[in-house]
Amino acid sequence: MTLTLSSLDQLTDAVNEARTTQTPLVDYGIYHAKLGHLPPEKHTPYTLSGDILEHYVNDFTVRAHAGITIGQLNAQLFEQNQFIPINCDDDLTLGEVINHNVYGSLRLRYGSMRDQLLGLHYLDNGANDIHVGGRTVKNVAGLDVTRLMIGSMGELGLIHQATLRTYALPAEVARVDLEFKSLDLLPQQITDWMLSPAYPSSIYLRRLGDAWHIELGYLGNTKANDVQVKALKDSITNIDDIELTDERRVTVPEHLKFGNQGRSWQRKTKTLVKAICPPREIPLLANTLADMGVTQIGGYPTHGCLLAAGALTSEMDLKLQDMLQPIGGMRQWIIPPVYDDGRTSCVTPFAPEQPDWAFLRRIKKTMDPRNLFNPGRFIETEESA
Amino acid sequence: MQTHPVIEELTRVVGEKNIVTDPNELRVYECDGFPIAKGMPLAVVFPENTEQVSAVVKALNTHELAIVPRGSGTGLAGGSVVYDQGVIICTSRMTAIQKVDLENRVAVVQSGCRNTSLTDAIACTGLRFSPDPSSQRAATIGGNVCTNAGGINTLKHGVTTNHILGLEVVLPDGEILLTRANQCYDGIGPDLPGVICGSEGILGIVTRVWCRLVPDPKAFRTIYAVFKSNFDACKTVADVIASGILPTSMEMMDGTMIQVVENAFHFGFDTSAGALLLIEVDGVDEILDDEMKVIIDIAKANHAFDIQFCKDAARRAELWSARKKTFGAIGRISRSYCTMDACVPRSMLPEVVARVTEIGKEYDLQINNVFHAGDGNIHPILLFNEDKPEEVQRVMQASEKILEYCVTVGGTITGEHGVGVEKLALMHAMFDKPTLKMFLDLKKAFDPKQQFNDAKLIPSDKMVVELHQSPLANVPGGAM
Repeated sequence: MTLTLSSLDQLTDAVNEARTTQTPLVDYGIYHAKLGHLPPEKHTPYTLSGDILEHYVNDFTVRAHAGITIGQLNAQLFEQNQFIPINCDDDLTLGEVINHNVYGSLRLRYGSMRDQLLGLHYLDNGANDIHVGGRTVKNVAGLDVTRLMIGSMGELGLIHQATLRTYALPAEVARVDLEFKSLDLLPQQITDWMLSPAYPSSIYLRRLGDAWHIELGYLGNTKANDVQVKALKDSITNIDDIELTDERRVTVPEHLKFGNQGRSWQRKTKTLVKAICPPREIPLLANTLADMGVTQIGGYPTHGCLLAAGALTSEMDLKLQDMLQPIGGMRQWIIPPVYDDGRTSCVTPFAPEQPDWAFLRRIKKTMDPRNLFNPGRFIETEESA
Repeated sequence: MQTHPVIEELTRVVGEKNIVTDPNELRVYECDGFPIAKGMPLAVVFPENTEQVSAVVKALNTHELAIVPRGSGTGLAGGSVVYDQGVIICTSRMTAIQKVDLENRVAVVQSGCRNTSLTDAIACTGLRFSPDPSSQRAATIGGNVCTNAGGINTLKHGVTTNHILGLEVVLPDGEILLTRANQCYDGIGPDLPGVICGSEGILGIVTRVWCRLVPDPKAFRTIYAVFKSNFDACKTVADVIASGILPTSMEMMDGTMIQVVENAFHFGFDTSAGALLLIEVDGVDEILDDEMKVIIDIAKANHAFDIQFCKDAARRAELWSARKKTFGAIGRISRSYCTMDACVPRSMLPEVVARVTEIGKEYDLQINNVFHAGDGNIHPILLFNEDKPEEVQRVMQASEKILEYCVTVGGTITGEHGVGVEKLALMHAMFDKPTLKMFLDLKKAFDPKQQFNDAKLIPSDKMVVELHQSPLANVPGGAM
């Protein structure tokens, strides 16, 4: 039975119980449930629920339970004309977004969790409520464990509260869709845009049929967007291989909703892989995936990140890894293929070993010596292997 | 005098030209920008590459000597001071810009590369490395990483950690750790560079840095607004933040500082003013006038009586020069001063600055203010006469009271200078015992023998650092 935890007392009891019975607590999140290694046979699944605890409206910061979803959080912030610019799926919890360092196309302007997160409360292995960071926008007191927890996949502690920056809700979003006949033009084009008034707030790359589409978003007021969209149009006027296919103005909530709909292919697939490479290599990565017959491809070219869905075979996976390895890239399964024995990690590691993983195992042992939190999820220790 | 056997080993590793052991020369390295904390090192070594750093660390490890990393020594909290006859590893000769990759917007530098060396090297590209601490002409990028340095434009563009993609670090056992060290903007797993940023050299020594480069804004508006009182200026800052406009910077100077700067440099400031705000916005040129108008209206609503603005580079440079020269000017009114650093929620600024003034009165001290108001990062400057021990004591007590007050309103004991040894005693005001223990456990995961810069940033269970003199600094031109 999955425990639903909301109060600090419930969380503390759950950690104490886990310690006493030596039964790990496992929360893999909704979207990332299949990522990484499988949980140990004996474990207690749990989910978090929650709400906003304090919205410091005039300071543009918010403190919330980790169990609140991004959709719930933004819905309440919209009422104060503010928002969290992490454009991910609405049903992900704040804790999941932190644990998996989820970001969307708005990272280009607003950054990722490393740029938004100011403070954290988490329970450690001894059920101590650890509070790191705070609510100020600058803070260098103590080790920055707040940032260490980002991307930790819930292995280092049970995050139950977070304090984040919020931002003023821009008046509108100008969405422009461009079709690229060849992606070879893209890196230079992005550089040109970044150094000009055409610099967008977001860039999302999507494979639609046989064509590559770039969706640009400009978040601002009408006057600013007019200027920026004009600069964008001017920049592509004489380029035959780029065609403007759509242009519209929407509100930020509408923009985020479209984003949710636009990413729905990532949720309706049996396999989903995330590939990371230097941004310059995005054409190579995208074309490699397309040449292998992958039709569902989308991602964030300015951050060298693409997601690919569909029936990725082991052969295709090897080819992808061969392409990524020499350029310093890597791939990570978010929804891995399931093999005949029902397991995934025994056949295909969810991601290749990275140079710092041996060291991260040491940190895991330090912060979770009893291996209570999502054991083996990401960092396989002797105990969890 | 007998020479410690490690000296010969270190000399073999780095060469005679890259080691200092002469007591007279070592005096330069007995403190950093916090000169109250002093300790004489056994030696200072200047490795030229990562392999030398690793070999030096291994040698020091064998001899169980304390290891203290140092960049240019511009730190303001005593973070690079040696205790226990340790050895300083100074990165100031590891200055290479190894790669500038414009297509991926990444620069790879050795950690001793000065902040402005990188800025200057890429000036013609339209890109920049954004962190801009006032010490940037001298400060190394490795030092910026270890203190998670801020600066004037961090309000909009972020602090150092927001601009670091990856790190190479030599760990206390000499192992070379690469963490996210390539041109990628993402990684898998916990954000190790994130925890090394701001760790003040207690986890290892940073040897190479992968720096994110961002577009250098081309259009600006700089606003200069003068107020009768600190309160009105602080209220303006809080109101601008609440309006949703995110300026590049909002810097504040109080009335005494205006007089001091004007008397020293003759910028034409109104010396009858109670406070001055310097605000800058950047972005799309066509909308900056609108943003500027909103800010000016807010300033007027808060009783600003002289407002000027400019978009020309010369006047802008002059105004920022005034801001950056403030610390040089303080020496004209007081031989000794203590620059504090705390950060509070921006909405609390009016109350906090008022309380700082009250504390000054309670302790019969003159306290002036020049600070990064937009970040809520205050820098009260306590003036004193160091020849009067009783006055020194009052400064110490007032400093502590100010920081404790900042914590009670949701603030922190340091926004950008770091803890070093200066604020070690106040860590208990910020963090409970389990959290402090967790910090120490984490340090031990990196450094089981606690050899690396122990008793800095977090209280140690192995060594107690006692500041025998007052934790006060007379820092000519001190960075802020």
